[in-house]
Amino acid sequence: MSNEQAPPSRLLVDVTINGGKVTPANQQLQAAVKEQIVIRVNSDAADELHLHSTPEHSFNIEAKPAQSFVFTVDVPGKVDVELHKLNKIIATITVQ
Amino acid sequence: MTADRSVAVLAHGLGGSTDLPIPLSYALIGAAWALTFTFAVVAVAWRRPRFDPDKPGRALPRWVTTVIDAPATRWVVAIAALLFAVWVAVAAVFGPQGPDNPLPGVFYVLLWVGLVALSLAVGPVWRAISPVRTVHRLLGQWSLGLRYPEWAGYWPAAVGLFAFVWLELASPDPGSLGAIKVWLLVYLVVTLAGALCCGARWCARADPFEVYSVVASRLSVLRRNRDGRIAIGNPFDHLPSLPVRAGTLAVLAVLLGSTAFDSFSATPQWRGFVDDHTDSVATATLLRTAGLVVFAGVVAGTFWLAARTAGGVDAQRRRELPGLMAHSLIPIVIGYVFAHYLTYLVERGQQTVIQLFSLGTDVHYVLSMHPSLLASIKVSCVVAGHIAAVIAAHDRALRLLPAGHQLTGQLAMMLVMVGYTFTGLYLLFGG
Repeated sequence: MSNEQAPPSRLLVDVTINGGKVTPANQQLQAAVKEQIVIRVNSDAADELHLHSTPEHSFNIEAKPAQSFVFTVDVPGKVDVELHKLNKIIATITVQ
Repeated sequence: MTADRSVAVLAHGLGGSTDLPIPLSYALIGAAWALTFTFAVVAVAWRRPRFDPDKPGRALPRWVTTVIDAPATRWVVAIAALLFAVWVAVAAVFGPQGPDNPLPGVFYVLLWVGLVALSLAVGPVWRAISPVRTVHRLLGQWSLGLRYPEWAGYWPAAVGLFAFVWLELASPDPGSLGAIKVWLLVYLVVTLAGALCCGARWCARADPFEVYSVVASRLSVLRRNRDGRIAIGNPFDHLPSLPVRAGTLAVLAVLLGSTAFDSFSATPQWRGFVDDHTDSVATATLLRTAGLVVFAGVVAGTFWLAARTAGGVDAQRRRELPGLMAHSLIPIVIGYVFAHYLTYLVERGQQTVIQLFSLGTDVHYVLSMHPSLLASIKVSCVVAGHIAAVIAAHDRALRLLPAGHQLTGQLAMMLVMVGYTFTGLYLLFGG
């Protein structure tokens, strides 16, 4: 989602998937509505990243380092960042 | 694409974000009100029972009852509901097999939460719209004529309600269309088979949705007088008319315990605990199931004990007390259900209706966009439910307990209710 007037602040989440283990897990994060949220992934396996925001976002993760996924959340709420195939919650972002 | 199946592992099988936690100050203010009011009721409120389920309400004009009870009205409503169910079934089977399918929304939002709102507004509607009852009526009410066993009471309904919350909160993939279809199929087969064996009484006692609807309707201002006329009355007179059968307390405990577990299971502590102590989907499911059982069990156990601590009654009455007090849990259950599921009902409800009828409109996120308003409504629901429960329990204790034991006999019950409400507020605050 491109945003011409992106606010200067943004939330960066670094995620590592290695041998079926993901870090971080169940992390609690804060963000503002419409703030850019960047998920940076280093992975050794293909997976899917699901953002349980309203509306939802979904990204395909490939087995390679340094992939970035950018999105914003418009409706306040608690958004789970889920790694689908591993069935793990990376973080819950409280967006307000 | 198998991806879609999953959108919904979280958040009640519906995906999307969940409510923001309520601010601490709101939780504290709510807790203070609940506590103050509880002691005010016990210490200074009326000393003679005021509420009586036999007290007639103010009867509405006779034509209202005539129209509502007319066979034509009944058939139109029942057939419309049956057609709606068929429409949902068609959409579930032939619609998009992904997150755009309306089935989870119909199941988890319209049925589970919408039914409560509707029953609270107009009475036990499931009896009128239940697709199984309609099919049974179309079959000419035929049945084997077996007697529904009296000892079973509401237990089959309690089991059915537990099966529902298990699918929503403990099963491996609550959003799976396949799982919901299997659940509904089993429900339809069991309920229809029961109706064919024992007649409509099976639906009244064992259909989880009908029992849930009856429970919620007891807080409604609309009711029927003894002569069958529809009337408007004080819900506090209506509450004690909840039938006391085997399993009544279990039904309420499953409802309250599961709603609390829903909040609890979203906390990072619980999620971390499940991740750390399980290594497969099966063990994680088992652990969540155990959590759900513990929550419902704690509600049932504490209420049962609190009701039985009263002094000055004989053994027989003591055994009956938990059932006779159970109706006072209804306001707590309903208040908490609304606090917890209001955005689901309003926002996911819109989304479901849009999906169901392929409307091109957008969902209005008025509640989510105004978190302070939403938090105020939630706390108000919980506190109002608590106050109503305390009043109902107080009045019932005056009726049931002998003079001299009425004050002390209420204390344990009041403490337990304060415990439920504080726990509820704490969970809404985010744990």
